[in-house]
Amino acid sequence: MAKIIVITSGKGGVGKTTSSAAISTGLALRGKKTVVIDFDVGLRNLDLIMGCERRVVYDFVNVINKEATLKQALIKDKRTEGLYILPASQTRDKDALTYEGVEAILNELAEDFDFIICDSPAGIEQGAQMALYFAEEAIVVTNPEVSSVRDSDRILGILQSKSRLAEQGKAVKEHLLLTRYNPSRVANAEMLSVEDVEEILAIPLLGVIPESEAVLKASNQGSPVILDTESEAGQAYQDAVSRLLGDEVPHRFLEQVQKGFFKRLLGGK
Amino acid sequence: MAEACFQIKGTSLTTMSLDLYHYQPQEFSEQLRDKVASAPLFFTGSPLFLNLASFEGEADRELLQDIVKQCRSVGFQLFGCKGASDKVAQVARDAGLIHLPASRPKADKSQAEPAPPTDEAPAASAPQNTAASLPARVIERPVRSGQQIYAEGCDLILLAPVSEGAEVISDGHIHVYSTLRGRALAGVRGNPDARIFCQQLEAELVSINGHFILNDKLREHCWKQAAQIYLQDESIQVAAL
Repeated sequence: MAKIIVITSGKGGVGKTTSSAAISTGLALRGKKTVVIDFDVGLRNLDLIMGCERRVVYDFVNVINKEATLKQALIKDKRTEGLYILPASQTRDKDALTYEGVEAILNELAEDFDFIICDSPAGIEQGAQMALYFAEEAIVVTNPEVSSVRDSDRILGILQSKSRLAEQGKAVKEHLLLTRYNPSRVANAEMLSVEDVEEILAIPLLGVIPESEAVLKASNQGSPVILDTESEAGQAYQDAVSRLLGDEVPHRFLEQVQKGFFKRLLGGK
Repeated sequence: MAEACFQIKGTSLTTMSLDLYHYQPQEFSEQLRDKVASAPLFFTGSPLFLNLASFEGEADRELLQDIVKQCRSVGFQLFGCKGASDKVAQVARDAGLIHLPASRPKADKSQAEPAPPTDEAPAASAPQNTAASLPARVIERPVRSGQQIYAEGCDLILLAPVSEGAEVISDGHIHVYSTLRGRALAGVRGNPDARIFCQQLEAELVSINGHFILNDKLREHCWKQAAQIYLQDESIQVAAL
C-alpha cells in the first residue's frame, strides 16, 4: 500500500516542483517504487524539471476522463529505475479534476507503488486542496522569508481542516522543508533563520536546502538536482529523503562557509 | 424566643426565557429540537419561562398547553409565563405555570443594576449562563493563519501557538499555554471580567468586552513575555504573569 505525500506551500515559486522531482527521484534511488503526480493542471512544469516533456502523450486529466488508461499516461523515468511521472494537462484548468476521479487514480496507483508524491499547485484554492486532500503526509516547502512562512502557516491550517484525514478526525503528518537557505544572509539578518521558521510553524524539520546555482542549472537541464551529487543542494535533498524514510541524519549547510586560508591569515574570522 | 426556622430574602435567579414571536406548532417543534440538540447538556433540565411580550398573535389555552407540552418533552422545566394578558394569565395558572407581571424587569445577570429588557436580551443572557456551566474548549493543535476558533459560552484553552493571522475568540477567558501571535478576543458577548493569559505575548490585537489594543501598544509591555490582559475602568491593562 502506497504512502501518499503532498508537497505544498501556499506560496508560488518557493520550490515545490523542484522538491517534488528531487524527493521522488531520491525515493526511487533508495529502491522505493515511486510515482510523482503533477497537480498543477494548466501550468504543467514537473515534466520539464524531470526532463520528460517530449514524452508526454496522455496526462492526468485524460485518465480522469477515461480517455486513456493509467498505464498509457504514466511516463517511466529514463534515469532512475522505479520512478514514474504522471504529467498534468497543459490545455485544461484545475476544474477538470474531480475528487472521485483523483481518488480512483490514487487507489489504482496505491496497489503498485510504495510512494505517491503529489506536486501541489500554488495557492489555497481548489487545485491545492485537491492535491492535499488524500495525503497522509505533507512536506511544506518554505523559503526563509515572512510571506512564505505565513502562507505555509495558512496551508498547514487547511491541511488539518480540509484533508480527508482531518475529516476523519485524524492528523496529517507534517514536515518542514526549508529551501533557498543562505546562511550568510541569515547571519546578516536579511533572512529568517531555521530557528525562526521552526518556532513560527512549530512542525518537525525535514531538511534545509541551501540556495544553490546547481538548482537552476538542474531545472534547465531537466535533471532533478538530487542527481547532482557534487552540489550541496543535491546532498541536502539526499539527507531529507533519508529522514523521510526514518533515518536520523544531522542537518548540514546551516552555517556560513569557512573563509579561505588567505582571508583567515589576514585576520578575518 | 425560638430560633428562626427560616428567613425570607430577596434573591435573583439566573434563568432563561423563551421569547415567543409567532407560533406554528410544526415549525416551533422543529426549531426547539434543533436548539436543544445544539447544546443538550446545557438545555436539558434548565428552568425556563415563557415571555409573551413580543408575541404577535393571540395566546389561548390551546397554544399554552401545547407549548408547555413541547418544552417539557425536550427536557425544559417550564415554570412560568410573563407578558400575558389577564385572560391568558388565568389560563397559565390553570396550566400550572406561575404568572409574572410584564412590567417587572426579568431576573438578569448577577450584576446589581436591573438592566432594562432590551432587544438583545435573549441572545445575551443565554451564553452568560453557559459560561458558568460549560467546560472550557481545549485546542491542542496550533491555530494557523486564516483559522478562527470560537469558544461559545465558555473559556478557551490553547495548548499550541496561535499564528499571525489567526483569531481566537471566547465568551469567557482565553488561556494560551504557548505563544500568542494572532488576535485574541475575550468576553465578546459582553463580559468585562474576561481575561487573556498567555505564555508569550506577541499578539496582533487583544480585545476584552469590545475594547481592544493593537500590536504597537502591546510592544510597550511584557512583549514576548508571559502576560495577562484584563479590563480596568474600561481600559485594557497588560501585566506580567
